[in-house]
Amino acid sequence: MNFHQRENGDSEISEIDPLLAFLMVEGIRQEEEEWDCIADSFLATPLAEDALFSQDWKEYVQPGLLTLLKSCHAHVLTDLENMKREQLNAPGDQLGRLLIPVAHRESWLRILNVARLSLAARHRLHDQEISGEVAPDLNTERGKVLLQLQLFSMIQQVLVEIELERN
Amino acid sequence: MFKILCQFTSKTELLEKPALSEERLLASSWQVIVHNDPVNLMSYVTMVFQKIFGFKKEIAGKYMMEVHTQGRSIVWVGPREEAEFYVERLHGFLLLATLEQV
Repeated sequence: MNFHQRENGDSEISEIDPLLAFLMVEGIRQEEEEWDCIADSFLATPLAEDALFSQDWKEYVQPGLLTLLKSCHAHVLTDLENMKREQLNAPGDQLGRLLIPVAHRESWLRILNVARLSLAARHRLHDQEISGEVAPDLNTERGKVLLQLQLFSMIQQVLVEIELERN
Repeated sequence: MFKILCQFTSKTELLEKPALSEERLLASSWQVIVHNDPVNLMSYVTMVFQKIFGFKKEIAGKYMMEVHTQGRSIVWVGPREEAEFYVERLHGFLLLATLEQV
């Protein structure tokens, strides 16, 4: 897998192994109930002792944040669809290529986080697994999850570096 | 009627508006606290602090390390409305943030 930064600011990830492409698409997909879980865990009221404020937060702020994240998710899905389409039309042995337009970079940063948080919560991953200290055993389902998590961390790390360089 | 009003106004005294003491000013301040979680990458947290608060990389990194090593960091103090705005933005990047009155 290679990262390439284009002159126009777009990022390109090329030579993506089909397994990694599959894990990427599968891990980014979010079910509706998972959004609820995200909302409860990470978008919860920041001032639980104030009941009125908490009610307002849930009623007005949380839906706005969810809308923002879902729109970011749509950007990411579009880029992944493009990758899949390109792969379908390519000769059999050609590796995948993902283009992340500069306008979608922030969406990717947020959604990679959503995906990692969801994976960690869904599979109850422990700290050593999350920090990448455990080598993934690809013969197990959990190993594939760890690979997925490490893949997302790596892409996020590269995108953060690009973003920081830009500023 | 006139008499009654005069009686009323004559008994009304204007109170001087007390100056806010430093203690009271502080009491009206709110702090934005970011909490540690095992999932967010350290570089990501640093980047988010830079984006939201406009911190330089070193300052953002210092706060990030505080979150990482102490479990939480007070990243901003000020009026409640602004504090709420910052927490909302931090939540938008999936960082665990809460509000506390100083």
